[in-house]
Amino acid sequence: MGLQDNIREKGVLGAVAAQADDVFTRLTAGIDVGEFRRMLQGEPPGRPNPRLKPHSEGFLLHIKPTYYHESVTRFTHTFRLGLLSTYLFIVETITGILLMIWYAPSPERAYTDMILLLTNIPFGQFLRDMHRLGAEAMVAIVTLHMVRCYLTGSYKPPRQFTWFTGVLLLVMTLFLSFSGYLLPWDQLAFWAVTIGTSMAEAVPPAVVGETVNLLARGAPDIGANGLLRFYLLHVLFLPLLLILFFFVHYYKVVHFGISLPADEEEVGEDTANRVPADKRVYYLPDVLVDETSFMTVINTLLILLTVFFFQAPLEHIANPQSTPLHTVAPWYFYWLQGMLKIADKFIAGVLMPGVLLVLLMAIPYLDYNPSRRGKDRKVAIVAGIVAGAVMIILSWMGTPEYAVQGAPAVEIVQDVMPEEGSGLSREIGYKHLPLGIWRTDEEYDVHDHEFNELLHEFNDVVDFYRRADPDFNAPIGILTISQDQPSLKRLNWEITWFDAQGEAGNYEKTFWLHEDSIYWEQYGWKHLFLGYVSDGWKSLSGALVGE
Amino acid sequence: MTVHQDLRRQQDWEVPLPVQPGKGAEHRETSRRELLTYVWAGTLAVMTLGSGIAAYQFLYPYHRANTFGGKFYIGAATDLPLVGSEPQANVDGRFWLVNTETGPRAFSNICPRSLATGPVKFTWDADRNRFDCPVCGTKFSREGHYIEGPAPRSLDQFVIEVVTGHKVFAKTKRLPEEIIAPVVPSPEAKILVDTSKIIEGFARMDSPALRGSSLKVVPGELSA
Amino acid sequence: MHRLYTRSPIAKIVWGILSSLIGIIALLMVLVSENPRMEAQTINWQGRSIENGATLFDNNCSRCHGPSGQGLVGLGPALNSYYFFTPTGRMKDIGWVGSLEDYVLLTIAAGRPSKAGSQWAEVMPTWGGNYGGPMRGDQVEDVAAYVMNWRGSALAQTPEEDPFRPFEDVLQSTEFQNTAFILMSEEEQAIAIEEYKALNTRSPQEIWANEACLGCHNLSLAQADDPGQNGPNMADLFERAGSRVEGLTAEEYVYQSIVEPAAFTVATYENVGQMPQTYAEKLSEDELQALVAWLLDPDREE
Repeated sequence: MGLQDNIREKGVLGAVAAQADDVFTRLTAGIDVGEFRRMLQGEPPGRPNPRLKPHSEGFLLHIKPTYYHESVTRFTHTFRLGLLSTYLFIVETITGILLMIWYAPSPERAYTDMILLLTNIPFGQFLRDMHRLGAEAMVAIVTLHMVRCYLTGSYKPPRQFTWFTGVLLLVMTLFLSFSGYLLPWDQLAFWAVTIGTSMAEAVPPAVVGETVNLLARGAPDIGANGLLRFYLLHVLFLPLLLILFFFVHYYKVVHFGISLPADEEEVGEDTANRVPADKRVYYLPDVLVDETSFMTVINTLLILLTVFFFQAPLEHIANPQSTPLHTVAPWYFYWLQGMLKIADKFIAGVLMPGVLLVLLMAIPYLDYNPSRRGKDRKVAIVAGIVAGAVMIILSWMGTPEYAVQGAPAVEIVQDVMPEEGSGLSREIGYKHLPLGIWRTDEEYDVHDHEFNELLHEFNDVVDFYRRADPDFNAPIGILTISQDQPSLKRLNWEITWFDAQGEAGNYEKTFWLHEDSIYWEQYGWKHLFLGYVSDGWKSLSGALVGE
Repeated sequence: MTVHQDLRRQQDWEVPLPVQPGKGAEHRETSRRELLTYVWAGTLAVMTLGSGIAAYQFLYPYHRANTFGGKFYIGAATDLPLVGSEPQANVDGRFWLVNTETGPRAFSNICPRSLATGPVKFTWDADRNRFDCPVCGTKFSREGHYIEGPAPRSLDQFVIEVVTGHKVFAKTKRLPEEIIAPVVPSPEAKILVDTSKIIEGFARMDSPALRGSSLKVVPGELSA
Repeated sequence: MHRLYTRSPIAKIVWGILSSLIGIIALLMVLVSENPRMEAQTINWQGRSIENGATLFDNNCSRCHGPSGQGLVGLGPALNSYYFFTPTGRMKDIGWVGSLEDYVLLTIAAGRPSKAGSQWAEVMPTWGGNYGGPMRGDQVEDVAAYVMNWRGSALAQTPEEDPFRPFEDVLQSTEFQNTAFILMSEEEQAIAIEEYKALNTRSPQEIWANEACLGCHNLSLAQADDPGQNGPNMADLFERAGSRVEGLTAEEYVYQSIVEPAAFTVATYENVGQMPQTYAEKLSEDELQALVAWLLDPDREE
């Protein structure tokens, strides 16, 4: 209908309203203002349903199903874990792109850029913490998504390939997280990735292993080339690959529909795509409201965790010459590190993970049991729980708790004042470390509660190793705190002992602590944050009032 | 929208509204839901706006205090050099801090002439009470005014902010005929040199240090 | 389990409104806190840089500049020094127009170009990787940050407390630091120095302190069994000296060890480093004899 006709028919105002309605309809790909309002009011759609049009005409909704079975919209059926993974991927993309703005992938600049980000860029620490938290959460959520699908038997026909792509996505998520691990270029990153890539070396024959390693690192050791390669993997290659497989995966999910709770259909049957009219929950508006509400809540949760609890760790700058004590892989590879402690590098680092991966991908093709009901799948569920328990035990074995013990004296100092990270000494901080000589074989009447706690900890850990190690007798720990410079204290830890033969041993380690240094717990309440807020508010309100 | 599409829309999708029973309570319920949805959309918009502000803050180039390009905290007004004493060199800030009778000034320590060929720092000649450029030999007075030499203009100045409490009380200002130093209201007022804001010196022909000298012919003086 | 799930759209919308409001408040709190947070982080990372510098200084620099930067005469100048930090001191003397921090940075990174005209026996080596040294750029910056952190204690010193000893104990005393001396032939210079030495005999205690013997050797009887850092303990030298080398008396052995240190090295110190071989020139014959006698005296006065 032409504009002239419209004006003739409805008058100018009416024509403008009609035109506005028209624009609105185009933007929503088929829903006019009246229908939109009826949708918000919760009115039922007309027949035929005009709210299906955005799915067929619009780009954004064309990949979403028009309706779901009522049973699969229950929160406890899927826990929205797939949606959550997608949401986290989007968060990672946005925060990642922003972080790239202040980052250059070269060993000369990477670490300095991290410090610049923390000290000089508003919201720099916030974005870094959120990116790190989101990455770790994504690994956890994707894994949980897989566990959920395993337990409900959702990988069974016809969804075998969906499961297969899902396993690929899990692997990509792990690699994405791991490739980002190197980028801060600190000791934590450097050594975790050195260990990780060294596993590639174990691929037989030796030539292949070395070549794989060279290709990954860009040199025999990780350096400028390795950093650049990991950076490109992290920001370009892996995300693109993940997006591709995400769409394959999601297409399959929509194509077959989300599997119904097993009890609601006959064994061997798949009725996800034959939803009776009275069981349909339409995407517009019900599921949309549900998903948006869920993501708003999760988004706030992520912000709150980042603001109040999570700090991305940053250790000393990467130093290829010095391996820190107790180097660990990221937590999601603890199981691998655990296996490496008990088996050979090739078996634990290449063969077992490879077999595990193939097994995981082959589950739907190996499992001939047609039933998805828990009571019919006792073997599968018990096997899954056993596998999970094994993973947890292996992960525990991957931590320094298991089978990594240095000399007792080294471990004692590592406990009270580790080379990297905080430790109780740095946690209580400069002002709670009184000058003097403090020995574990003497009692002190110190009024400083925090320092007392440190002395007790020192006593306890010395005593623990005295009892645990027969080669560590009559140990004495001596802590000497002296003022080295203005606002810089020197902490000299000295441990003396006698071994089983009566030979005296001696170990010394010196650290310095500056008054302004803030060491924190990696995962804990950010106790300084509220102080910053109140300081900032004071100066802001001062400026507003015009003092 | 083509005519064809328009027709199809009318035929396929536009159906008369189902007649509402029109019960009062139910109607209030439904309109409350609509209103809440708008409120929600509003909060989400504010949230997006907030994220936008955060992104703006994150992206905006920011210079660390006490590094060149940022603000230098000189301290209270009492920390300024005394009027008539030697200028203080601030190496990191690349400026000379002078307290003149008209107020404090921060001269960029780069000679105005050498900017094209590469920066050259000028120095303070205590014996002759003036700034000298070691390369081109241009001389400037303690107030930064051009005296003689090949430089095209008087010394450039960084903006000095005088802060009382949380408020900027006065700033270096460029007027058409001169650069005004900020007024220092009290000895406690804090002095900041903002090295991101530079005021170019006036052309050498306008230099007050030339007045009365034979180098410059001032039209007003001629007629008098 | 089904109770976990809210069906009511109104409840979902309210959840959405509430959580986005909370999110906005949290973001506003971050916005307000950013300036103080960045300030705290800035000094935090400066502090950590100083801590790293302290470790590096302790491992590499304290051997010549002293563990607390007080300097070791003959080895390295004092850094924790009023003269070093005050703008009218060191900076003015050497005519440096940049900041002291830049001077420190550059000296650490590139070292001293030469030791000509300097009283220091050792040359400051290059540390920065750019100049062939062992340290990365960030490590040089850390050490410089540590050195600069002495500013507070150094500027609080009185001139008497200042450990910096500019050109006091040099072999070439101020009398020889002139053009006339430089223009002499080598023989004439040697004669002039001998004459000067003969006129200015120092006590063994002075030599011990000023020639930096104490940098490596220890006189404390309490630590007689402690091997010490760079050189043997000399508290009980009189007991051992006579039996070290076949055919040499205690006096001959000690004398030889000073003027010709390479002739014999105690086995446990073979890998530590050589004693400077310049004492034959630096000490006059009288001083040497007095020093030997003093070192072998069981009841020596310190």
